[in-house]
Amino acid sequence: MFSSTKLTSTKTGATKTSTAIDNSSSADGQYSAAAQGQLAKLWAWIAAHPKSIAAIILLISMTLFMTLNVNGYWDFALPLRGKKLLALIVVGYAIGVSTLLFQTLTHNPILTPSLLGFDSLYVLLQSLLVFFLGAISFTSLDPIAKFTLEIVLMFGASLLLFKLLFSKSSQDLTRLILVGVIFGVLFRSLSALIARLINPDDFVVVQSASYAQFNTVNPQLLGISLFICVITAIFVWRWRYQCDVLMLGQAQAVNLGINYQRLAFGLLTVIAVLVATATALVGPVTFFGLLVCALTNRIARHMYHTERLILVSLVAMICLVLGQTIFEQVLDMAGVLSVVIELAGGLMFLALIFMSQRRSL
Amino acid sequence: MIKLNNISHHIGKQQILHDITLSLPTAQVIALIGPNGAGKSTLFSVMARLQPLQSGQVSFAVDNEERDIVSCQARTLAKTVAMLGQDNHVQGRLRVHELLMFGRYPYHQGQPTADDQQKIQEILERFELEPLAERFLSTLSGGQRQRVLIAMIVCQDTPYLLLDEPLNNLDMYHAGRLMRELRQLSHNQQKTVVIVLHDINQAAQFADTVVTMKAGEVTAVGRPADVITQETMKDLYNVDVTVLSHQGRPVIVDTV
Repeated sequence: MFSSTKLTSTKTGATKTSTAIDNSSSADGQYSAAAQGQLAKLWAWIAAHPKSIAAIILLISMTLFMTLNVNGYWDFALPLRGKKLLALIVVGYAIGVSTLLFQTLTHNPILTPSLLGFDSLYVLLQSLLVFFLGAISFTSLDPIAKFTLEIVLMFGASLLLFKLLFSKSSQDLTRLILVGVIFGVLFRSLSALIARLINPDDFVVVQSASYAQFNTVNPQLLGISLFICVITAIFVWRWRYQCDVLMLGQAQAVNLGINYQRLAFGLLTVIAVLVATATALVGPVTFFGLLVCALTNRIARHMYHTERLILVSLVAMICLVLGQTIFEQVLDMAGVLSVVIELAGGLMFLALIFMSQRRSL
Repeated sequence: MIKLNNISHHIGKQQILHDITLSLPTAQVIALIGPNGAGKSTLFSVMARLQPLQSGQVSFAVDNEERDIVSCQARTLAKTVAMLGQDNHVQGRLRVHELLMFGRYPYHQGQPTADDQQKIQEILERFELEPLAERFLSTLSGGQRQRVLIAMIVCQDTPYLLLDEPLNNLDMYHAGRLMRELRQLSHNQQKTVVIVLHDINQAAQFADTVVTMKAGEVTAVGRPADVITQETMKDLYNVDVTVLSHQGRPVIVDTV
């Protein structure tokens, strides 16, 4: 089974480069040696302050998002972009934090809650709605009612699935993943069946709902999502030290006085709510969480949740805001952000698997 | 004093522990020995609340107060009894001193104080772990990791310690040092150390009380010289041994 020990520390990277530079300085002459020394120091400073750097990059991204190419239409652009920005921030926080907590709980840096079939359940729900209501009624559904239905359904399904994992021992982790993957296949097959049954116009509606899109977000749903995110943030922040203890495994967590069942249930509730909210808001975002967590683990100075929770939120927000800015303003919607994220996330997933394989050989 | 009353435990249809009632004295090193499958690890798991208590009571006496594992708060129990199991899947990206700081978690709840730092430093010196203090756990050998885990349990500073086969990966030097360290903890700091051992001679040399278990029942409790005899070893392990004596303690030899 994969274990968290496979991730190596990059903290020694900064010191390694500085010693390598010292060795070559005599050959290159004093001028370039001084510049390289400064570069090494700057690099070391960046590595030592990931949160500050990430916050700065996020601020820059947000400013670019709001102000690029406005061409004077501030009254129109600012509210529109403001709402979109808020949606990206909410989704970034929700996916980043839920995946990180899931990886802590399952001791596995390769899992995401989405691998357990959430996204296919969402797509199946959209397909079923279109099948029974038709495309026109589907698009004129009350957004809040639909949002609530989606959240309740995905939350209920995840609680059911998680009961399998945590009612017994951790040996059921493999079974949970297997069950989740099989259910994912089941939901996908059912969606494909429905896709063949409905007419092409309806199919187009289902297709557009099957991929995450950050371009148009309903502002009412945004309000509810924001509220949900703030509530979960309060709980998660209070639990951050207990999450650290979880890194030692269940036995040691119990030994050190953590009420494991209660904490696990609390975390799973938060994870389920956040994944359901983000998916209902923008659509399925399968590998985004994995991508963001892998990046966070690389740049975080240590494994404590106080830093990693903040960092994963910032990194997720940067990816979404900066990515969307580039696609909207620089590339003129030549592509879609979600596709690029899926590509990058999928490659990261494969890379993680191959890295673990190589080390275990 | 650790009081076990009518402890029974089954896993599925298999009955592992049969109605165990036992009182263990304080400020001693107590060795728990027995053949594989006797239920020693299960008994430890039940005592340390890793497994739910199916029947009976377990209580630890601290300052004339009986702390029952069912009714007492998790945080108080974490300051009462510390257990180290056989399988430990600890996050490899932690440094040794960070792991020891986790041992102090019941006291600092995530925000370490200077007092905690000082205790960590003392333990690092006592267990000769200073050269390893900055190393990541994933870079340590099995034996080094074992020593670090035991140090973490000692950092938890509890009046009762339960150690399940802690000497498994340790060489002769470190095994001996650990047993001496545990004796010091029990005699100087009045801690009760219950330790599962497979090497009978280590139990005989270092323990004050020996408890034998077989097939889910406790078969004998007493001083090493009284419990470790040719008859009891034959009964327990089905092995014919020769029992010698060294400085008042038995030494068993399994001759060819």
